[in-house]
Amino acid sequence: MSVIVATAYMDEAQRFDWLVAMDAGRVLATGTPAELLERTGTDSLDAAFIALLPDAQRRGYQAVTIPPLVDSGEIAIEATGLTMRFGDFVAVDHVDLSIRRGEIFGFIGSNGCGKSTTMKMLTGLLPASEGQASLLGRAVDPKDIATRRRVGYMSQAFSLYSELTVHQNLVLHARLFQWPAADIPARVDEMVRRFGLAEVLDALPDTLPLGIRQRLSLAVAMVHKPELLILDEPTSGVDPIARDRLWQLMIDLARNDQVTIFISTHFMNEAARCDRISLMHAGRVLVTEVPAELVRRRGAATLEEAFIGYLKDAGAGGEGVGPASVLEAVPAAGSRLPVTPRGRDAHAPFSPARAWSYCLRETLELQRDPVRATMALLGTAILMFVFGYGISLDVENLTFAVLDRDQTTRSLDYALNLSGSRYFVERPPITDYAELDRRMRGGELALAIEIPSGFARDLARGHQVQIGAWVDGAMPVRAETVRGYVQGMHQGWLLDQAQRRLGQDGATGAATIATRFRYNPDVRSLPAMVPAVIPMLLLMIPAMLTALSVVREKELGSIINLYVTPVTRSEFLLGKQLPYIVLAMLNFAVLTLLAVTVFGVPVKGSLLTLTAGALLFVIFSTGFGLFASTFTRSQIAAMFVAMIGTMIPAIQFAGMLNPVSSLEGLGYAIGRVYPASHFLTISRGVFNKGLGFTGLQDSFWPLALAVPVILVLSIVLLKKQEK
Amino acid sequence: MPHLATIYRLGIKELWSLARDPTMLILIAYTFTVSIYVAATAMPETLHKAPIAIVDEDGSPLSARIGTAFYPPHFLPPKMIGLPAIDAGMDAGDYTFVLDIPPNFQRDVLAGRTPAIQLNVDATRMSQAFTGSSYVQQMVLGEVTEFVTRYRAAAALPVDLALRARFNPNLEQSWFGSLMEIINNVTLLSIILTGAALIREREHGTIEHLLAMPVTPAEIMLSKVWSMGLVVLLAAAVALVFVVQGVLRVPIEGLVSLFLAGAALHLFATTSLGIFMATLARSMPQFGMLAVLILLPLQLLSGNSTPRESMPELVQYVMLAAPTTHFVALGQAILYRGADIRVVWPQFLALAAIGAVFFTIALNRFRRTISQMA
Repeated sequence: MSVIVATAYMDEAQRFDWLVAMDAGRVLATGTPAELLERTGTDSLDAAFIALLPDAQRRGYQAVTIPPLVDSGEIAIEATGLTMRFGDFVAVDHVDLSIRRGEIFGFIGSNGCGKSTTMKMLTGLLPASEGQASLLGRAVDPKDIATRRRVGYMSQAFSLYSELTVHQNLVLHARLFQWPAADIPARVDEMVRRFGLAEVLDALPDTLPLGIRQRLSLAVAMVHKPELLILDEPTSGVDPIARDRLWQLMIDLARNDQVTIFISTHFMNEAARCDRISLMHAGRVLVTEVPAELVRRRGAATLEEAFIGYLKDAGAGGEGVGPASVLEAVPAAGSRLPVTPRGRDAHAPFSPARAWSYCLRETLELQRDPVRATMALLGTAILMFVFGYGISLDVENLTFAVLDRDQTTRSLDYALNLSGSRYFVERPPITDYAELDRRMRGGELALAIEIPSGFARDLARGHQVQIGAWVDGAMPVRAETVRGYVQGMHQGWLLDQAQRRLGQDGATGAATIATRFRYNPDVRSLPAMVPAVIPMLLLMIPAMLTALSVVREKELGSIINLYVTPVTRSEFLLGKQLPYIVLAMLNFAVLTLLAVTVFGVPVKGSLLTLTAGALLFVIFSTGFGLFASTFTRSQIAAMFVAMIGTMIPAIQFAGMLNPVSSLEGLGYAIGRVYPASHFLTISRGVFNKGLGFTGLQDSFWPLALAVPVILVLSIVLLKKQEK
Repeated sequence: MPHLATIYRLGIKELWSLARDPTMLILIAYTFTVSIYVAATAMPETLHKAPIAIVDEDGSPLSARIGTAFYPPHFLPPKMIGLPAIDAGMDAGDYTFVLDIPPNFQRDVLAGRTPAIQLNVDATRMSQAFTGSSYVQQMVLGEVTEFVTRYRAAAALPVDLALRARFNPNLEQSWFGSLMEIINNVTLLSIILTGAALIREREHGTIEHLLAMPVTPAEIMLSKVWSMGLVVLLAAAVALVFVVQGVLRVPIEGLVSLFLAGAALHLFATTSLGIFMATLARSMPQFGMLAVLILLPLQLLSGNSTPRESMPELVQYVMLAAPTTHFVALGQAILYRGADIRVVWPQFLALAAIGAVFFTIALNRFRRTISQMA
C-alpha cells in the first residue's frame, strides 16, 4: 500500500522513501531524502529545505546562532519538590528546577511525561499538590495578580480568540494587562514590526498558516513586556524556516532584553540550542545539564543518543525503540476512525455495515459520557413529575376581595357565597377605589366585587340594584374562567334568595342537558396532562441529544472522517441516529411505566399502537436534532435551533393546552403538520380513549410521512466536502 | 476588586464573537420578531373555534334552530353527523363537543315533558371542556326557552351583575401571548448564550490563556453577564416596541423603561444561572441536556402558561426561587396593569436577591472548577 504523509518535521521526512518539498503552493523539489541532500550539498534535511526555497523566501534567513549567556546570578524560576497528583496518578513527581535570569531553559520529554503540567503549576494555572515554586522571587500563588503581569505564557494549543483579528487580539491582550491606553498603539506597532505581522493585521487567525499563528501567539505573550516567558511546545507543527525565525526572536528576547525563557520541545536541534535542558520522563526529571556536557558525559555521538541512553536507564522502552517513538510516544491513542469494511459492499450506495460502524462509534461516545444518557433518562422522569403535577388546568384558589359599602347581612351573604366555593379564596376587604386599583394592579386580586350602599334596602324594596365585578384580564384564560364562575355563582345566589323568600322551587326549564365528560369523567388535570407531556418530552430530549452530534464534529474537526472515507451521508447520519433512537425508546418505556404506576393513568388502548407511534415519533425527533446539526456551523447555533424548533411548537402549537383546530394563522398551519400534534392525538387516543391502530390511523400517516422528510432534508443539507 | 476596564474589554470581545456568527444573529432576530408574532397570533381565546358536531335525531324546527346557535368565533360551524359517527369523531379528536338531540325532542318540549339533550364533551381538552360545556348549555337552553316563549326574554333580574374585565377588556389572547413569548425568549437566550460562550472558551482552550493573565474569574464572569445580557435586553426592547406595540398593536399600560429595568435584573439572574450550568456540564452536549431540563420548568411553571395559583402549593413555593416567576409577575403588572415601582418593588427586590444568590453561587463554583477547565 502507498502511504502519503504531510509533515513539517524534517526528522520524520528523513525516514520516507520519496519526498515532495513544497512551499507556498509550489513544488520545490522531489526525490529521495538522499537525493535532496546531494542536490543541495547539505547534511540535514532542515538545511536542504531552506536551501531549496526561492531566494525571496530565504532572504533575511540566517542560521540560528546563540550569543553566550551573561550570568547575572539572579534566579527567575525556583521549584522544589513540585508534585501533581490526579487521584492515584502521579503526573509530576518531586521536580526541582532552578532557572537563572536571561537563560533559555529547555524542557525535553515525550508527550504526557508531565512537561505541560509542570509549566501550568509554575504559572499558577494548576495548584500544586505538594512542593513550592517561586517566580521572580515570589511564591507562585494563583491569586497573585501582580506576578502574572511579569510572566508571559504560550500554551501548546493555539488559544487566542479566533473570532478576533490579529490586531484586535494584540490590542485586547495589551488592555487586559492594563497597559496605559496611550501607550498601547505604540506597543502593538512594535510587536507587529518585531514579529512580522504587518501583512496579516486584519486577518482572522483561523485563516493564517500555523507558523504565523505561533508568531502571533508569541507576540501576544510578549505584548506586556514580561520578564519571564513560559512556552509550551511553541514550535510543534511549524516548518523549519518559521521555527528558526521564532527561535531568532526568542534568542533576541533572551539576550537583548534579558527575558528568561522556559521552553518545552521535542525537537533535538532545538534542545541543543538551549543554555541548559532538563530531560523529563514519567513525571520525573532525569537530568539537568548544558546540552554539550550531556553528550560528552554519555560519550554519545548526538544529543538524541544521549537521551535514549538516559531513557533506557530509567527503564523506558525496550528492544528496537527508535528515537522518535520514545520522544513522541503514541499521542493518538484511542483515535476513533471507524473501520471501513472492504469487499462486497464497499461501493454500495448504502452499506449497512458502514452505517453500523458509525452506530457503534456513536454508542461508544454515549457510553463514555454516561452523564448525558443519565440526564436524558432521569431528567425526563423528573420533568414528567414536575409537569404531571405542576401544570394544572383546573383554575382554583382564585383570590378575590370585596368592597362592601353596604355592610349588611345580605351583602355579607353575597360575599360568603363566593368565598364558600372551592374556586375562590377571600382576601382582606377593600376600603376604597384607590385601594382596589392598587391591589389589582399589583396582581394580588383576580377579582374585585363592589356591593353598593343601600344594597339590602333596595333589594328588599324590589328596586334594581347592581353589583360591580372587576376581573383581572391580564391572563385571558384565567379571566374567562373567573367570569364563568362569577356568573354561575351569581345566578345560584339569586335562585337561592328567591327560594328563601318565596319558598318555591327554582323554575324548571323546558329542557335539560345531560353532560357527559368523556375519557376523563372527573375532568381532572392529571389524566389529561400526562399523555400530553409524553410527546413534549419525547420531542425535546432526543432532539437535543442528537442536535450536537454532527456540528460538534465540525467544530472540533473530526468531521474529516466523513470527507475522506467512502462513507455516504446517509450511512453517516443514520448510523449516528440509531443509538439515540434506542435511548429515546428507553425513555418512552420509562415515561409509560411512570404514567401507569405512579400517576395511575392506565393505558386503556393498544400499547402496541402507542409504541409504534412512539417509534415513528422518536425517529422524527432524533432526525430533527440531526437536521439542526447539519446546516449550522457552531454548537451554540445547533442547540438554539433544536431548542426553538421543538419547544415552542411542542408547548403551543401541538395541542397540549389548546386544540390545534382552535389555533390561528401560522401557528395553526404549524400545528397541523407538526408531528408532535399527531403523536399527541395518538397518545391521548391510546391512554384516555382506549383506541387501537384503526381508530388512530389518520394520525399515523402524517407521522410516517414526516420521518422521510426530515431525514432526506438532513442528508441533503449535510455537505460531503469542506467549504 | 474587579477591574472595570477588563470587564468592559472582555465583554466587547464577547460581542465580537457573536457578531462573527451570522447564524446566531439570524436566529436571535428570528426569535424576537417572527417567532413572537407567530406565537401571539396563534393563541386562541379560551373558547375559540371549538369544534362541535350535532346529531339531530329529531329533525324538527327546534332542533334546526339549536344548530344555528353555534357559529364562529366561539365555535366552528357545527358538523351534522349520524349517531354512529359520534365515537369515531370524538376518538379522532375531530370534535370537542357533540350534542345529541333525541327523537321527538320538540314534541316533548312543547308537551312540557322536559326532555334531555345529551352533551358529549372531550374532557381531555381541559381548556375547552369546562368553559365550553357551560357555554353550550346556556346557548341550547336559551334557544329552547326562546322557542317556547316565542321571544328571548330579557328577564329582569333583581340584582344585576356588571362584569368587566380590567386591563384587557376583550380578553384578547395576543396581548398576553406576545408578552409572555418575549419573557420566554429572554430567559432561553440569556441562559444559552452565556453558558455556551463559557463552554466554547473551555473547549477551545482560551480560558486557560485568560487565566495566565491578570484577569480574575469574577471579571471573566461579569464580562459575559453584561455583554450577553445587553444583547438580549436590546433584542427584547426591539421586540416590545416594534413587534408588540408596532405590528401587533398591543396597548402597553405601564412604562416600557421600568419593564426593561426589571428585565435587566432578570438577566443578571439568568446569565449567572447559565454560567453555573456551564460549570456543571463537562461538554456542550451535556450543557444542551441540562438546558432543556432546566428551561422547561422555568418557563412552564412560572405562571405564563397556566395560572400559578392552580399549581400545587409545593410547586408554587419552589418556583418562588425561580427568577422567571417574579419576572412574569412584574411583566404582567407593569405592561398590562400599568403598575409602577410602588406596586412592583417586591418583585424587583426578589429578582435582585435571586440574582445576587445565583451570581455568588456561580462565581464560587466557577472559581473552584476553573483549574479543571484549563
